[in-house]
Amino acid sequence: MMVVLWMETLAFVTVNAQRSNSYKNVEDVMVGYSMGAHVGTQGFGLNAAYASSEVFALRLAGSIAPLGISKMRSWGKHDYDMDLKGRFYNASLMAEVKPFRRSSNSMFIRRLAVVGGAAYFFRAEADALAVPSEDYYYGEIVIPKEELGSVKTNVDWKGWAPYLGLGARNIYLKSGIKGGYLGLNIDIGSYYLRSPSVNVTADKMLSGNTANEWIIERNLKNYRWLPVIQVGVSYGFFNY
Amino acid sequence: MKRNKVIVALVAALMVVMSLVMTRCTDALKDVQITVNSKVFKYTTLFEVSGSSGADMQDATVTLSGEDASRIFNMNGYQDFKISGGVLAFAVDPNNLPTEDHPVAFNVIIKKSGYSTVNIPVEITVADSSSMHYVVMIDRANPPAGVESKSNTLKLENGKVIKDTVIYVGPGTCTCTTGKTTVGLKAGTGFKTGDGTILGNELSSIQITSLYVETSSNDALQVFPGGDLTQKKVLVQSGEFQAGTLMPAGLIELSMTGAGKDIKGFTTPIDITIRLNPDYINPETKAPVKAGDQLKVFSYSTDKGYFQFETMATVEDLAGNLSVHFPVDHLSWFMVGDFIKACNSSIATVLSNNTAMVSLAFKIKAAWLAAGVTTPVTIKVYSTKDGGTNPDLLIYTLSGTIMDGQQLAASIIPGMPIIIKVFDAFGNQMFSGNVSDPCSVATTLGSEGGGVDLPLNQTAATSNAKTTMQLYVRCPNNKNPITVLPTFYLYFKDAGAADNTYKLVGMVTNGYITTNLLSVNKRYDFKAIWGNTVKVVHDKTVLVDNTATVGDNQGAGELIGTKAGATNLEMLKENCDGLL
Repeated sequence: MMVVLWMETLAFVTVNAQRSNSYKNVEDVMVGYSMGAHVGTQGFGLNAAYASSEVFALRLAGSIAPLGISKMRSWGKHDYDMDLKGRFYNASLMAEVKPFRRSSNSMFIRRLAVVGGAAYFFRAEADALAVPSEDYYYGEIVIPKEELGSVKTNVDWKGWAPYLGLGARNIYLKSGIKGGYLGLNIDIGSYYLRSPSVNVTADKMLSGNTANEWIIERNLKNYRWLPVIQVGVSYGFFNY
Repeated sequence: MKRNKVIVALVAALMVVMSLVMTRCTDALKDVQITVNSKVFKYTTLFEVSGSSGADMQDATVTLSGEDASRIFNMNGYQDFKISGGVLAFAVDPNNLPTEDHPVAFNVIIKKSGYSTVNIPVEITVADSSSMHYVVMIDRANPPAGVESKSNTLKLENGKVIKDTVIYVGPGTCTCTTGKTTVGLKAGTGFKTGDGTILGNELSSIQITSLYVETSSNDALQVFPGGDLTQKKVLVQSGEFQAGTLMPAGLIELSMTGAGKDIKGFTTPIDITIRLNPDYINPETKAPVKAGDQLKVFSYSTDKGYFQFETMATVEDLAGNLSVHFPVDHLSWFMVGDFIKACNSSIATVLSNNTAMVSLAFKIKAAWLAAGVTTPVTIKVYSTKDGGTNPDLLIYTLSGTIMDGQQLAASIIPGMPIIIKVFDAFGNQMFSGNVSDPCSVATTLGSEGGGVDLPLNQTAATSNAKTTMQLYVRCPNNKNPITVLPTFYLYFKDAGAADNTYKLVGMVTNGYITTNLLSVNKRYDFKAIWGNTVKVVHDKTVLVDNTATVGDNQGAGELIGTKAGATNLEMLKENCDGLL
């Protein structure tokens, strides 16, 4: 699924590249400040960038991603309602280099940037709450589901995470006032988070299930890649 | 142009590689199991039931009665009660727990052919999360020491006694007709069934069965109907129910059968003479019983489950034996002696008064018990011969597994001086002390003030190094042990010792127990009781840390049993189905 999405994104990028003939010449002289907004897999946020040259830029960004879904899951004979919530709040500083800026004749490849940097995730956690969805029968005794308790799992990646990815920068959308420039940004990459810490708590008649903690920790030990697929717009105050 | 295509291809390849890396992540919930705790019950009570002759009682019939009987289940959650491995376990409905002002009360009635029926009142208070009871069923053919069983056949004519007859009940054998315990039937006496029907010509003879209990012996008094001498519900002379202590000077049981029917009454009262314990201290005079003293006669019907006042009787000196005699028109247990009402005698009828129940709280002081270690103890409460430190009758027994700082409660507070003794699992004394006025130390559970401190001495049996036992269970086809482990009772005995020497280690909660009852490197036999299932493991050496996994991979050292492996595997699968 993710691959398909990425390929679609790639196709979109390619289509835009083919429209490069319609771009204005001013696009090729993008040095200066820009501000923008973005949305994607790491949530939504704002960013500000400074391009010191047409090849190199620094970008400061902040993103928040409050996520949540509910689903039902069965263990053995019993069904559980699961609420999954993720909160990823980060601030990042990225360096962007356009290696083909001066050597390619393709408008898309000229805008292709290798993006590297790091983010501090001041909140990067996922919570899962499992509660029984039905009453429990022990022999002839009916124990209401409300009395059975719950199992809560918290997974925390808080901390610094390096980032590496590719981006397409300032794909022309519209000219602004006083030489401003509204452009489209696309990013594909991944953070490499620190190894997560897992904390499982449970109460009442599910209290014994905290022993699952080490199992989940084992399963999640490779859950360190946080993919970023992101689009954004930025308004540039370029010096041309 | 060609280079541009290569760059685009590299970008696409990079995306594919990244997606592959990320999709290789293991399912976050792989091998995770969520199971419901096997310790469903917060309040359980355990009956260890044995026959006086040592016979297995597992085919006895168990029924419950009383106001809270519907709140009681077996450990598997069913209202079907059977004795397994000599143990009968009851659990309180987890949706309907005892409260401070309303304990759970019910009666346990155990019947077995050839044995005297027992009816034990049980009360589970908020403090009694795992109480214990010991029940000895009297084998009429082989009664315990101090108890005599006799059976006599009396020929009748037209369903009536032919001539004045005296049946000798005990003690021992005697051709005498006075001074000992006897039953006198007058000529012409007819017999009634439970519904009052007078039996006629079909009754050519009756079988008279009697039990004589030597009331000077606390061992013999283990068969006292209703369990302890201190009982919650006694119908006293004034016609009201009171809680208190019955002080027997003499005790017998009489039953009769004829024409295949139980006889419950007579057309003419029969005369019962009971020889008294010559050492009996009359609670009214606080002196040894003597001729002319007035004693109370109570009867006990196992159907009703409580003692009720019958009559007053005057002590006579018959041929050198102190005795009382009195007429009765029904059959049951008969006790002669006294009744001393409890300080909180009204709890016989007042179950809920919206105030925390007052009780006699025993506060365990056993700092030598390491944190988390439990040990089974028995608290025995005695009356005193002289109001001092000389114990007389065992009036109350409370058993359970304790920790340092724990409180156990006697819900009935004896209204007389008492002596308290505490014993470990092997009967070694850990504490002895007296309380001259239990009423003055009555308290509500958990209160700082009041109660009786029980500083327990560490005995040799409880001085072993701390040992832990952790039992894991891995269900077939599962990779890991299940996370919620069984809760069960665990007994032990020296390897190869007789079965009747099993002692309780305690309740293994979620597969874990810590104890100091076991000696490291010593070999033991273990008996586990899980619900109605009894499993025995023989000849196991105990280490400081004992960890085992029940499963079907014996190659990995998992246990499935050596004697009935296939059966055990089926049991494992069945129980796993229930757990998972």
